[in-house]
Amino acid sequence: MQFLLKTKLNIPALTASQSVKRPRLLHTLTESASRRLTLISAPPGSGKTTLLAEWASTIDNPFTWLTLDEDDNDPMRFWRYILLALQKIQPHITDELLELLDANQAPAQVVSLTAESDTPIIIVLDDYHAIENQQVHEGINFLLNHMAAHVHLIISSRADPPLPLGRLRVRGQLAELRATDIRFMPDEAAVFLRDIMGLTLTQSHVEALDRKTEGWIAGLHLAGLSLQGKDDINTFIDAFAGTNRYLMDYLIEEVLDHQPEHIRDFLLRTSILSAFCAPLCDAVCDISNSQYILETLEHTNQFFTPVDDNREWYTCHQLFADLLRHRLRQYADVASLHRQAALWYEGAGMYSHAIYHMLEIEDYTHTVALIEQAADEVWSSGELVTFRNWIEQLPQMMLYASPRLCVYAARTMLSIGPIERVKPLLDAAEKQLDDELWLGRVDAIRTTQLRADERYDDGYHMAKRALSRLPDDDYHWRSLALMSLSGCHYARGELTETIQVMEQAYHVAQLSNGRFIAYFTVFGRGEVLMYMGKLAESAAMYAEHLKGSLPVQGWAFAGLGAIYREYGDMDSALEHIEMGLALGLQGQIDDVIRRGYVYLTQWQLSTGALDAALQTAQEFNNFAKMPGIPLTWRWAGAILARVWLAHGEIAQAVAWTEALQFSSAKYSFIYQFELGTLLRIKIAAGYFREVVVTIDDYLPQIEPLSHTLTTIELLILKALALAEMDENAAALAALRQALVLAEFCGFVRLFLDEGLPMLTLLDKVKNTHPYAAKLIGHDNVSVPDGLAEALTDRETEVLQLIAAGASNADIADQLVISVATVKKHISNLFLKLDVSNRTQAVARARELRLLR
Amino acid sequence: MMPSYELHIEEHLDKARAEWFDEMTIIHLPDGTTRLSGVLPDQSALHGILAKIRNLNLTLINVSQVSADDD
Repeated sequence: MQFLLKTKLNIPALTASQSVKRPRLLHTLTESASRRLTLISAPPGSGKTTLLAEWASTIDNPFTWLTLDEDDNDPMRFWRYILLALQKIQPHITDELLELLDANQAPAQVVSLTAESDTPIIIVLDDYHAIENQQVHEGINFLLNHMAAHVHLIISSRADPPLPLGRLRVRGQLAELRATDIRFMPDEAAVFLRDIMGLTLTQSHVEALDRKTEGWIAGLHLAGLSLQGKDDINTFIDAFAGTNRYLMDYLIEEVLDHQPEHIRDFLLRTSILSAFCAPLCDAVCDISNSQYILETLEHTNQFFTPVDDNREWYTCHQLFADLLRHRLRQYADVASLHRQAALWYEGAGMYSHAIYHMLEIEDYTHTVALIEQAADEVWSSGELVTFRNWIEQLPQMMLYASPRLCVYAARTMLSIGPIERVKPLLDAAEKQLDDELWLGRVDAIRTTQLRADERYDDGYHMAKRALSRLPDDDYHWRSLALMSLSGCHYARGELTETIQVMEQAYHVAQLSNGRFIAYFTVFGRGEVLMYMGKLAESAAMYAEHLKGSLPVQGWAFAGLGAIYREYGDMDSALEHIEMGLALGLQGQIDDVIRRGYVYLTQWQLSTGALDAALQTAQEFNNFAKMPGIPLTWRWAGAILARVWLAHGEIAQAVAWTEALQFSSAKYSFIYQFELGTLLRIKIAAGYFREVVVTIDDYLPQIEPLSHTLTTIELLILKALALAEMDENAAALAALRQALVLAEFCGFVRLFLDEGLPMLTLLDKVKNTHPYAAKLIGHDNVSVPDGLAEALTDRETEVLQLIAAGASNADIADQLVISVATVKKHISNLFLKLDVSNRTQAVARARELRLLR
Repeated sequence: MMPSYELHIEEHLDKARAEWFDEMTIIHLPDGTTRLSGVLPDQSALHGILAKIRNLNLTLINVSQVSADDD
């Protein structure tokens, strides 16, 4: 595939003789290129590509060109080519970025990668009509809506691209060149026919030809070819002007009839191909001088144009190829031509083309063999849509009779759907296989499905079986099994095992070039370590991955930010969480975005910025409404409920509990965030005894499993509930246990986030427990017994704004006072509240119920 | 002299898909079908609309050229 790869990115070569000088159009193009989208929409043979190629040679700005074909309907492939094209002019697009490419994130990534540039960036997409895949169209639409003002898209197509263009037109963002704009004017036709095609024609000849073809360049070209070497021009033009037949049919017949037989043969036989190189043409025509023929044809009548300077590969205009192929039907053995082509492509390792030709002659047996050969390559480049296309063109019976292909197909559908087809494919495959490796692969896919169905115990056993069957070096499949196994352990709350399995998965992922999976296992481990209370280890793991700004690294930033927050280092926490969320949004990675939003909301709650927390949580909920991982909207609901709780909106929070869809009877690790939320709501609603009983039920279930964070959290909540019932001895006993664990790990915010009630309890044990004293002193908040001096109205206003997260400048704007005045108010506030920074001021104010 | 076209599709065009036809006038008919109408400069533009209908999984019932005159 490599040779053709480069050529897609080349601006098509123009032979000097091809170009009629068309300054008015070049000028139009230069002017319109400042719009967001320039569209050249005209039927085939109108000269779109030639015009664009000529224009390209006249401009200085960074320019990328991509010639599209129907294989680019695979979004993965499409965006890979776009990034490759951009890489030529933007060196900060690294190879690693390309390896981590995800078709869903790609449009957003392209937007951010092109966001900074001193000069305009122009992206040309030629033959856009080849694209039919709606996902690709949506991606381009996204680009058009979000790309920076200095990025310009030029689309050349046979029909208007199926994009919402109305909006762009109305805003003056769209420039168009249509068929009537780019047709040859009579004077241009004259130059073309006389100077370039070297014909001796009178003015009325030219006008007759121009009139009949309506300036259509391809028509004029063929007409010119028909005229070359003819003596009686008048007869030809009369007949031509008078015919009712389809113009091109008529002309191609004329052209072909006048070619020497071996050339005619060559043209007809090679018409089944979409790209031409000498060895391929030799194979299809059973000759050995294709190179000579190609070069001759290039020079005499330009049927073929080279795609690069080596003259290794050529293209033929699609229109001519279609006409020739139509005539080819008169020949007997089209099938053997396809077969020759397929065999040549197979020998060259160009499976996509080989498969196309095999399917044309319906040799399904051979096609299946080719697809199996191509499977690994397609898989490692992630072009699953392409693979699924091939599968879908096989008769069902053929597919189901090829067990290995069924396994590959199942693996493909597992990733890109339709998901209902996976099980029947696996069942069919399993019946026909007795090879341990392949049965292991079937198991690996099954285990992923079991995990998705939340059947974790079955998934666990299936994964073990898969791993016992798969050889050590079957990396991709072992990786699949290991990831599912770690997921099953995680769901069952077996954190130590989760880490072990993730470590194994990491090594295997490295060996199978599963870069994304490798990252996932690192960050997943970091998170599990946090749940186990190993904050320092977790932080260290994240800290290793902060260099660079790949979207997936957003997880490391966010994760580290969460740990900083747990430690109470609020400034570092915010910096990292915001970076994490930004990267996640940029790359549209669900796992990162979810964590970013949750951690940011928690940070805002910790610092008393309640309004900001509500806004963030609502933004998160809007995001979570988009179809995606159910985990995301579950977390969105839970964090919003916590925000309502902080605002004192108990009814809203209770409403959330009523929509919960799991049973809280048995403690379940994967629901621990919801359970924590539920318990806090119950305390706020007064169900203290129920909370204590529930927690007493949970604790023995989780103690053996190292869920340290949850254990501390539950003990804290138990202490609070008991204190509400005035059972102080029991409350303090629970608190002491929590303190011992927390001190060992370094948890701070778990306590402080519970506010005044927790501070009151800590105060009672501070003399016997230094850690409690440390927690109280952390924000330097002393347990308050009222203010010495009341706050003025203005000071209260400033305080409210600080609590909402406003900067001094914001406050000055809002209250219409100077920043100096703001600072004075703030220093008075600090004095009256007996604090020395904003965080302390807000916390103190909350305790004293000075806010709202 | 740009022709005016009317395309008749079987489905009720929901908001999400309607956004893609922002150069056409959309009328929801009482029988649940939808009529798209608008001025299109040439055949290429018409094929663009047809491609959208196909890509969005809509069912085309009828296409007609309404008038070729400017009013």
